[in-house]
Amino acid sequence: MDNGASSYLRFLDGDNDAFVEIIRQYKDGLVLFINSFVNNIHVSEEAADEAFLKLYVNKPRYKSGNSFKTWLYTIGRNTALNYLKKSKRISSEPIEDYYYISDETDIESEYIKGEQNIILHQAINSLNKEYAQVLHLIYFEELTNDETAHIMGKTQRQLSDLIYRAKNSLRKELERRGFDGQI
Amino acid sequence: MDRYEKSAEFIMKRGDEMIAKRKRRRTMILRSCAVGAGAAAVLGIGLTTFALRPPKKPTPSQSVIIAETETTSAETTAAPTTAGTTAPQTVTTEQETTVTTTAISSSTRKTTTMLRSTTKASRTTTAAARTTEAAATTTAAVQTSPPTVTSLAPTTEDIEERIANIVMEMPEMMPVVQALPAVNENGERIPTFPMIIGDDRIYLKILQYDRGELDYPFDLNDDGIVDIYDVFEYEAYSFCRDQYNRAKKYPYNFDMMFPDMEVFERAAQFSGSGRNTYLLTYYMIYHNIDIPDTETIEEKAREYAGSRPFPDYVFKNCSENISKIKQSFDGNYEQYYEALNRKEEDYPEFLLTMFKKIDSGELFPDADQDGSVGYMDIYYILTFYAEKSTGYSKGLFSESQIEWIEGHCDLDGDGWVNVKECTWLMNYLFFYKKYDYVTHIEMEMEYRASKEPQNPVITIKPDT
Repeated sequence: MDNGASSYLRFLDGDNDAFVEIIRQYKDGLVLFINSFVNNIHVSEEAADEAFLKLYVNKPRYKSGNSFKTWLYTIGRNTALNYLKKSKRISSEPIEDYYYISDETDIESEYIKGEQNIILHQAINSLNKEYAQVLHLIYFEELTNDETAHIMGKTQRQLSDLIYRAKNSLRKELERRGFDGQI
Repeated sequence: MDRYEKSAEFIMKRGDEMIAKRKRRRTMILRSCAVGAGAAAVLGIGLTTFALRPPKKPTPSQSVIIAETETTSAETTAAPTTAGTTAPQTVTTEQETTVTTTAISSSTRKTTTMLRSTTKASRTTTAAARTTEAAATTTAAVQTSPPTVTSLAPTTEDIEERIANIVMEMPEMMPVVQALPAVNENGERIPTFPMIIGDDRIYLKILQYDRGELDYPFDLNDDGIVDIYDVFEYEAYSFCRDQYNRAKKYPYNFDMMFPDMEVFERAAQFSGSGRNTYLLTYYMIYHNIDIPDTETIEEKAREYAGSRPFPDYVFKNCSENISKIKQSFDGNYEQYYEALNRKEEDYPEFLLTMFKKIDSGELFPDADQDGSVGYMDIYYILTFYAEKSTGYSKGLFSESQIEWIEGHCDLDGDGWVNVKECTWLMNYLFFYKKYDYVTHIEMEMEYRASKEPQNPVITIKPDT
């Protein structure tokens, strides 16, 4: 059982410190993942908070079929999509109600190590949303194709096609930016 | 305290507030359940006299089948008002009613009538002993709270509290409540209302009856016929209203019960509203209910009306339709239960392909064009199908909408947008996408409420 799962089980048993551990371990990654298709770090952070809030309030049952991270990212993605849809119609809470608004570069530089990787991350974020999601999950979260497919609700076949197209698109973007590193 | 701890603290604070709010809401609901118990007895949660029996696993009862008689409708219209009602503060004219209802529910809407009568009967008989799971709570209400004259006219506060609770717990009731001079989910009065389509109209009528504004909501589509569909519709409504149970609150998930498309399509040909016919049939089979004969239906309706004037209804039990569908089940009921636990691999390949196309955006049956495929799309498609198939357009769709739906919602490419599309979409949402009905319907309703009603044909005076 991975760390996230054991923390979550402790949280379900009433240990709120375990919830803090989950946030510490996964929040930045989840925010950046959501940002790959939202392209707004503040909204992404709010959406990630919504996902954690869902965990806290609903305490959904975790099944050990997938890793905790995959499960959490799946919840995060769906929550973010719902949140986005809802926030289009409902005016958001006043900004002063939020405890902390991150700067994208803060999270990015803390979470993604290495200048080259940051350039890569920025290039990825400028791609089509699906391409950005899939590349983010595979390159930065180092998830397997299976896990990525699960989070994105795709079949293996669809995912392979998507990765292929995403890589091509990223290559062009990096060339455009004058980056000569290899993907 | 680092930013993660701050973040966690913020989330936990919000979460604790939400949990506390839920607890308060639960308390309110329990309280209002008690208040509503007496009224529930009167309103008739029903089928108790003939419908409720221990849930024996289905052995189709090849019961007495009384051939229905074809009747011409339209002669009789809704019930005249009589003494004893407290009045027309919310008035829906007959003409308006007719215009509003969509063709989807032509048979669906007949349902209400009987229930009330059966309920009345249930009070005086030993029907409670024949309780099914589905009606367990309502029957309990009947038992614990004997009807009194006062329960016929609940106070305005009672009604509003109940409506507020309904909205909070059952967002699908929003369109109905919005059509009344009612309240939103925050308990605030809603000054405007969106268009009402399809079955919402039935609920509206029942609510109006509940408020003492209609004498006889038996014949919901005003075709002068009171039949088993009326009974069933009311039962579904009551179930929805009184259960306060999110897991079971959706009364029309016929797709769960009837995933077998072929069978479903066969059902559809028997009625303008195949889904209700089918749902009813399922219900009857599952609960081992015999089809009540026409005389029983009439007797119960008249019994309930008591000494009040009774409209000149034609009664029938629709046994022909129901028995045909019963036969089409061919004794294999287990499939409907299995469908409740359906997994991806259980779908036929062509449906999976279709679902994936919907996911990838290649097929996008977004009939209400709000940017996502949701419950309201099914609703729109069903309405669209009903209008096209009956040729009885209510003008709910503009030319451009019709063109869009025809162009984008024909999932199987057979040139028709019909009940097949609805069923597949239901499957897609509920099983394949594990549809979060509550979240989505709230958003759909917000969207719907934000749109200008195209045909605000129902006019109801604000409650003063």
